[in-house]
Amino acid sequence: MKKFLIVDDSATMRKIVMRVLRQADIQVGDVVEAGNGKEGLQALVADPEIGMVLSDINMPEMNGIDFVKAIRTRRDKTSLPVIMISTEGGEAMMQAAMDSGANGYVTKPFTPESIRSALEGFVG
Amino acid sequence: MADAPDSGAPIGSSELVESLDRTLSEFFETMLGEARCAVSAAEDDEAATLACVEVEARVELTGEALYGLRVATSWSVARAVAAGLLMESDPSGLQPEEVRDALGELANMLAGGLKTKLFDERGTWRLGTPQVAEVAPLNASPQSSWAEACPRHRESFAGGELCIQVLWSNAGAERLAA
Repeated sequence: MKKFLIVDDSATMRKIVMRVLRQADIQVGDVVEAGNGKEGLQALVADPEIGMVLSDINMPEMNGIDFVKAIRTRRDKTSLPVIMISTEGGEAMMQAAMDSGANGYVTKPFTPESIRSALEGFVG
Repeated sequence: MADAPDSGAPIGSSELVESLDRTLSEFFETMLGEARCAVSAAEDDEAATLACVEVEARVELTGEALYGLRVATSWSVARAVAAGLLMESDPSGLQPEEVRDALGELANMLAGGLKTKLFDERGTWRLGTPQVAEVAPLNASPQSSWAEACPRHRESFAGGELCIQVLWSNAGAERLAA
């Protein structure tokens, strides 16, 4: 089971994401939490076992787009799966996320099915 | 819902109402697992409802104007929203910070839904982060620098009500020019 990193400035939303992962029957190992992209990067450096990232976009300090770009500059993280979870469902934002190096995109509010669909191929 | 006067806002009232309706339905069904229950003006005394408001969450949308999506309610309803989002059977066990955070996320998802469904078609808009505050009752605390961009929505939930307003101000253009 992969270790997950969940990045969102709302602690409530991080809990909701964990709850929905369970509802979706996704096999989740340990979970590391971070409150913005900067903290997310620090978590990735500190814990090389993290194998899956779910990240919000609209966050203070470092947003999700800059977070993914920063991840992709690291040679050891080029294939780390990163799924964006955002309230913004517009095409421009989705394209910006994918262009920055994200592997998938889920719009809030989300269902267990939409999370499972986005993570398909990355987790069991 | 009471009719709002023509606000002069750049986005029409009827479009806002329609988009907010769809966004609210999605939120209730997806995140709370139940159909929403809108309160019509004829069903209840709006003044009494608004007098129960104790906490608000607001998210701003900045573009050619400044819009604010505001969710206002009592602490007990906010606590029930948090419990619903977190699937906690006992709302009394939630910490105040969890309740504030959940109300902020509700406002965030509604504002994001409006942005996606309506605002993104009309140029560049920036979604702010949720601000949550304790407030005086709405009918005793008029928003001096804001006007209602459409009639307020009232949603029945957990024995109380959520009041959802879309506000607007000309300050958005000034912010963009600054």
